[in-house]
Amino acid sequence: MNNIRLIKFKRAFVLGLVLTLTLGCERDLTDDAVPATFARIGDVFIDTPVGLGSDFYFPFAGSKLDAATFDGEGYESSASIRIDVPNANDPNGNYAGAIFRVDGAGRDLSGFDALTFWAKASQGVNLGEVGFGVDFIEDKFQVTASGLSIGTNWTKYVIPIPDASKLLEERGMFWYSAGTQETGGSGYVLWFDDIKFENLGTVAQPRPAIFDGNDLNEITFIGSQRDISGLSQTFNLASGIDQTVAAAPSYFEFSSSNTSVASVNESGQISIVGSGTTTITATLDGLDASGSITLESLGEFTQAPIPDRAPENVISVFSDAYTNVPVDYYNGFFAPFQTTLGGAPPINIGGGEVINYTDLNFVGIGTFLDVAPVNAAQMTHFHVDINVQEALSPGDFIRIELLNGVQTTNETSGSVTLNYSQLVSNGWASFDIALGDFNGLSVRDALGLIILVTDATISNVYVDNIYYYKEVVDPSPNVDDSAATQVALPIGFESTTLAYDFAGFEGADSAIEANPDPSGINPTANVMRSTKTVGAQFFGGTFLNLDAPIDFSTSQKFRMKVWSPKVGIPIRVRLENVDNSVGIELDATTTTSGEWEELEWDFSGMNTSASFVKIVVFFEFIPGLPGDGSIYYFDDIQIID
Amino acid sequence: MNKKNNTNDIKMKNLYIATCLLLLVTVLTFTSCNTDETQIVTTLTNLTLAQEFDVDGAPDPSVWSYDIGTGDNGWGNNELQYYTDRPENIVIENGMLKMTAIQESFEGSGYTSARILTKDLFQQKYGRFEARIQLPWGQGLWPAFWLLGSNIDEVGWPQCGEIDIMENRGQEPTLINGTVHGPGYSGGESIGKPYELDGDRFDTGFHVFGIEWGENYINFYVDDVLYNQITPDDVTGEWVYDHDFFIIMNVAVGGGFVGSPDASTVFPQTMLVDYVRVYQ
Repeated sequence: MNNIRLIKFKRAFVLGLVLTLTLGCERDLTDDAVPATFARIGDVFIDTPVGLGSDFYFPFAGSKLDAATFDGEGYESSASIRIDVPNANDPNGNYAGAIFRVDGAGRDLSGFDALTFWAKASQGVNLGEVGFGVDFIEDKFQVTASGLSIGTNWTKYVIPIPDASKLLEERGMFWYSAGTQETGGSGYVLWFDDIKFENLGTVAQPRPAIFDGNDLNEITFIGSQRDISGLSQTFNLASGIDQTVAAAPSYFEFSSSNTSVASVNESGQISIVGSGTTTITATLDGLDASGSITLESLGEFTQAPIPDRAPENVISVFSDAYTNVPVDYYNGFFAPFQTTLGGAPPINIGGGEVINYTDLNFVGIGTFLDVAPVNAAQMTHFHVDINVQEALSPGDFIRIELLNGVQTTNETSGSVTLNYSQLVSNGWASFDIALGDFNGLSVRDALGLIILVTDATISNVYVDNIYYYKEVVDPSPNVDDSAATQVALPIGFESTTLAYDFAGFEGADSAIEANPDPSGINPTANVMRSTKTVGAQFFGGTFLNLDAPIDFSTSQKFRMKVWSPKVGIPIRVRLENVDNSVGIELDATTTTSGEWEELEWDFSGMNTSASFVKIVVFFEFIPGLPGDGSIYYFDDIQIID
Repeated sequence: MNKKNNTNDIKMKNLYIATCLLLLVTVLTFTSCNTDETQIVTTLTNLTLAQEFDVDGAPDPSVWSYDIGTGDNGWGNNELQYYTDRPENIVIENGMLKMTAIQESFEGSGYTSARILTKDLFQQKYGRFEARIQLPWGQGLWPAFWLLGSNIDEVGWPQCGEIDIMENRGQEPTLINGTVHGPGYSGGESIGKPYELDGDRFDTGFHVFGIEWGENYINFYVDDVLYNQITPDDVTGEWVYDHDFFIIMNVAVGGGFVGSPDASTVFPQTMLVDYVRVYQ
């Protein structure tokens, strides 16, 4: 604010000076008097800074602050701006970048058509970004040329001004940003000289664009906001070559064909205010920009159901209800086959963040590049809310794939497919998927990718509340079957008269023993031990025969208390009829270790009509993984409504 | 190319010509004229053809005819366009002749455009030929204002002679070429010189392209700048510029002189011709 006040003061001072001079000439102000204008100086750096004042160089935060020096060799001179771009691992900053801002009143650049400069580099590079109009105050008229090819000989470069008539008081004379992305992290030297605004007369054929020249169509809702992106201006230079620059929104005039549906502010932000359809277009210096967006507003947006799981049991990837883990991206734009747009970044509708994927065929949400992978070893479920923005038909699906250890030698993955009958057209469907259902995802301590696949059967979806959670089962009452007359659920291994018919097999060893840890949720006296001896088959386990079939008539939720020395391992429960002609099985995952916990195997939706008279329990059922001598216990087997 | 060096011996001379219709005075200003050669300049004020393009519609059929189609092998240059006489490609509007190259699939070609000529309708030996034109632009565009010897059907090309008053590569928006083709110095061996604008371009405003042509000389100028003179001493073959020539204007697309358009080329592209005037 001090800066802005200072500028205003100086402007008043200049106006005052003009009045004084005019009065001094003893002439009256006439209708011909024009407002004071600012210096029409084009030179910025000609072997030495030109009229920039004493305090004009401001490096970007995070850049190497002392990268620039003002001497050495120059273009047809002995002085230039020398930029020593640091190595990527330089502790003092891994890139060079700064602005040149007039220390004082801005300049009137309306009489020029381009910023030009001479440059060379110690090795051929594509210069990250260079331009003008950055003043660290509003950056209102920022212009950016990206990827200029800088060779090792002095060459003149031309950065066209998108609309010079806007630049009546500009302080941002020049800025640059250069890193080592292209040089494998190795530093190099850049030289700039003879930086000036010029009226070349050969900057021609302007072709402004928004949305990179694309005509977009999107469905939206009241309260949502969307930025106009891809703003650029392209000129043909004297060389015959086109030069495109990114241009700040302030160079453009935006309009909405139906302002009762959406308005656009001068920053290029679209706000949806009503239902209906509108098309947003732009002009630059009176020329129609190519590109547009047609928005169909469907009215009020129904937010996804608000999650109610306790935060301590949740690892959230994307939800307003929780603190989200850092992610690399919500859309990885996997080349070359991905068509999916959206998610980069998520959008805000009515105050809530939501991801809208369009042109969806597949998309990845990444947590493996620059952020820590998600350790979901103690989680039991994956949750996501999906709102399909189109009609559904048989064959439509969304497959959710989870990848652990992405791009490591231990990468594993599993997937679950949601079919069309599980999804909702133009409405939210909430999914709580047991992590054990992601077959093949044997480890989940380093989840790095969530991939949604539709193969374009579904192209437009809203996605919200993506998180892993631990289902905390309220412990069911302890089972006391000491007075039971037959071996049937519920079973607590407390009878001294019944003959429990069980055995360990394929390397597993079992016995009913005294509870080794009669604390926490399981203080009962006796439990079943299942030891997976060293070298046991991964499908080694313990079976228990029942005298009466399991009664699934009122509930299909199978509960069991377990004790495991390992967290995050799958426990498979298989139920069989008498001749094993029908068997159903499910995995649940331990969420703790060294203490009793209760897990649930929900057989809802599976064939539970058979007479299941055998329960088989496999600890750490991971194909190919032999037993390691771990001792497990289970107890209190029952069906819970 | 050796001969072309000879033409460089004639240093650039500025010829300031008041180009209004009533040309009363011609002022000649030579700067650093340190060559022994005698500069021949003629003042030509007798208007023999004035095409002002003031009447909307097609060009005057008593002066202009059309070349239609793709000629032989893209008019001898592997050009890509199909020439038509449709108003989409050639029309007079708002006091301008508009010759437009369009990217479209047409009769097996990928582009359409227009080419008109005064063959058998207007021809002249010697004089001043000029046109005021704003050029199209972009990689692969090849606009031209040029003359061919009227005896082409009897003696063939290049024996008939060709005088390219202006031809431009669309990817060189500040540059045009003035060239002659004759026996022994045609195509890549032609004799001529480029002219480059300083601080301006040919596609953003009108410029006058002309020659003043007499016995044993052809002077090439753009606006008020004489930038080249070609005499029998400059050409490596027979001087074939002492008979009638007719006028051609066209906008070619592609061909050996410019190369093909690419993704950067913006279509359609229009050459605007304000007038064509010939003096004797």
